[in-house]
Amino acid sequence: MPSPSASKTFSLQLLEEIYQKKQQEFALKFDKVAPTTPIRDPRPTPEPERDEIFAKLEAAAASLSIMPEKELLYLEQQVSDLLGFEISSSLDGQRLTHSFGKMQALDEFTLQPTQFETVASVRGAAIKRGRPSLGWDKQFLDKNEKQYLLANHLVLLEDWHQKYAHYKNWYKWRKLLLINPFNRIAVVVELASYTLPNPMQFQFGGSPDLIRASQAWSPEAQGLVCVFFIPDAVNSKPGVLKL
Amino acid sequence: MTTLWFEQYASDALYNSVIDGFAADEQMVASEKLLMILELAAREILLVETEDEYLAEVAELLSSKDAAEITDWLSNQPLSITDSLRERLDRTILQIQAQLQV
Repeated sequence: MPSPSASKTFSLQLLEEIYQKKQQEFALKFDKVAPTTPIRDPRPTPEPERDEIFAKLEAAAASLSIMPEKELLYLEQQVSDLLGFEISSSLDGQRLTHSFGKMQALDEFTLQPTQFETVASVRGAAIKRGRPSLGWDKQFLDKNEKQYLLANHLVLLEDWHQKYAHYKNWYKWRKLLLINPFNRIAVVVELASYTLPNPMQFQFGGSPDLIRASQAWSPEAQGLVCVFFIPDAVNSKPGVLKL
Repeated sequence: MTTLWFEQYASDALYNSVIDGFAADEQMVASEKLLMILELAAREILLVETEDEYLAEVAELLSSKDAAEITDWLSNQPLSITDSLRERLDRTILQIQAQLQV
């Protein structure tokens, strides 16, 4: 007599959910120590088409204006095809204050209480008193590792004052792709601060490593960049991509 | 079938008890998924046990999935590490079993 099927109770979907959760936890814990590998091979795009895409990105970054939704979606699709992985100006219904704008060159982000030996706000302990806006960094911080960190003045979001606690968690260490279309350089960055010293003049702020790697302040770019979300963040590591 | 580097440290009986809980036509997929979870758990415990200065090197070795090389490296590690690995993998299987039974 065959065994009753009711005894087979485990759900494959539940197992998949457990796996996804474990994978996310693992990525959060060990992202910094994972070996750096290119995200994926970009698809071959004909040169004239590449030029057209970069021209569009340059125009969008230079105008600092909000692009019509349809045009933006089409541009996102074109850039995703060019890169070989998906990018998007919104994720789970959330957006940055801007997708195109000017990036301010900021000082080193203080992400760990004992990051700088010279910092001694708390007497005798070499601990900095002020916490960064999105909290201290993950547990692994290699001093020699390049830090591609971005700031966006999220306080300007329409409903920030109502949902700031939820937003802080959601945006913290969110992986983003910063593109300098003028020099054709892209950098996978992490959002590390929700405030900017000068939010009326700049839309983004970048750590020194990011400013150098993205060449954002080259004579051509003059600080103008494009920033997108990376939906498949688990598989992307902070680093530079030549386009 | 190729044996994965961490399989020898997981209890076959526990592993089979989870797989048997799935319908026959789903067992193959469930087995693959469970092995992926166990690999993450194994990598996690080994990275936690590794000293900071060797972390990047060990992370690279583990993500290479080169069974021969990882097994060779593991054989040179202290017994306490492989014991932790066994204990952690068994605990992970039990946790998954409990979560699936909800």
